[in-house]
Amino acid sequence: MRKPTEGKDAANASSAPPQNESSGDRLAAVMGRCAQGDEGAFVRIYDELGALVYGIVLKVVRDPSQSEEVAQEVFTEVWRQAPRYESSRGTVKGWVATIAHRRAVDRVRSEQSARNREDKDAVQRHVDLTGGVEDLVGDELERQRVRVALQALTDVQRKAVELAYYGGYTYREVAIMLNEPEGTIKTRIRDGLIRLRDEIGVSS
Amino acid sequence: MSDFDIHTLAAAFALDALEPEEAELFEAHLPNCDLCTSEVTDFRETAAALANAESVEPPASLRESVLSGISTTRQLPPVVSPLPDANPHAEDAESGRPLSAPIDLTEHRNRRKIAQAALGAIAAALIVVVGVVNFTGNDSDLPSEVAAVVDAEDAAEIPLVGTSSNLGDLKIIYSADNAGVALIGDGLEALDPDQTYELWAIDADGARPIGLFDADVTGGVADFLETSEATDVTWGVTVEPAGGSLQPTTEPIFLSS
Repeated sequence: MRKPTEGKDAANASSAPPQNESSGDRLAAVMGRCAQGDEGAFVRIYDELGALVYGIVLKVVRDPSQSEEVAQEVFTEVWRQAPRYESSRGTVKGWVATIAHRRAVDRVRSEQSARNREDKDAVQRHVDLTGGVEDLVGDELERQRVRVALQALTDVQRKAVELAYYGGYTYREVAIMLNEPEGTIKTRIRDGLIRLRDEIGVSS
Repeated sequence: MSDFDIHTLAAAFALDALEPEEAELFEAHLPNCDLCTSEVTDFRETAAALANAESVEPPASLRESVLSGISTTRQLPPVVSPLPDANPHAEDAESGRPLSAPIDLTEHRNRRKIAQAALGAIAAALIVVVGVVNFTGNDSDLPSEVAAVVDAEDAAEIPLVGTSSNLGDLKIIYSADNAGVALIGDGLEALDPDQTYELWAIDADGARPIGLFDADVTGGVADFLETSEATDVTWGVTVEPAGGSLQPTTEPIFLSS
């Protein structure tokens, strides 16, 4: 069921600290109104998460016009699925990011399945682009935490997580790109993500 | 996939970094594993933080197209649980039950059973042991896991029957040696990206999700799904929202005889 948060609480600017599940999800109440067909509430979801969705889609897909198309699909999906969002299964941000990343990955995998994605140059290309200067918006505090947490990973952990998530590659593709056994990459992704989870989740 | 421990896949799954076959296996595993479910939930929040760190202000045109798009897009109904006292036989598609409500597939099984009793001998005869012979010509086109099932010595073919006409042809090849089933079909509808086919094993206890599969653009199906189900279940296929469902939410379009 929806959290009893009033709508106005959900109107807080995006400078609020990042939410853990335990501290409640200020967007859950807004999503509850979306679930009832409230388009005004959906505008708030868009305004809160538009930069996150467009950013991650652009990161994976690269091409701005395709990214815009995919981002539109993502938000249409969020709207359609709103009545099925369950706050017990994660925050609205987590849910929307999941939809966005999966859509982006679907796009590149279907488009690039014909290409040779084992191009090792891609590693370099990708690494060069991470942390590139873009018109950044969103939650600056969390962004800094992520940056610090990523730096705290080992080199292989960081590259594996970045290639998988930001690059949209499967762990088997990452294994080829980093010239490591598949099992190693699977483990590095797991270790890396656990460390990130613990680092990003703590200090506030 | 011999030395593979499904519980280690939560992180790669949360990053959409599994191969499609593994992602399907993991999705089928998730409902049965609280540990993996809670890990995936956590990892998805972490992934969302990674996404947030790459936020980019979208072009204004996106906002316009999104908002004009939703005003003409119908929302999915919420998933409702079955009525506690509902007699499954009293309800049917015509009764106006929402399409998304979980469906009790066991009723189909019971109806099938009557037919099965009458046609027992024929049904048994339909479970044809297939060998290399039937598939020699197109083995090379099949994914390796599918080919392994098709070529297995214990491969048993289980035909599926469409519940209405023009749904295409679909069959299951069951191989206990390969701990799974191959789904082979053609002429199926290629679903929208927000939908998927889902295979169920149905018996008196209800319907258990086996896994997800899709038809390619030409309507062809060649998928492997891991399962430890025995052969004496009824197999059913439904169309579900992308990502699959824990319980069927639509009427089955295929059932084994």
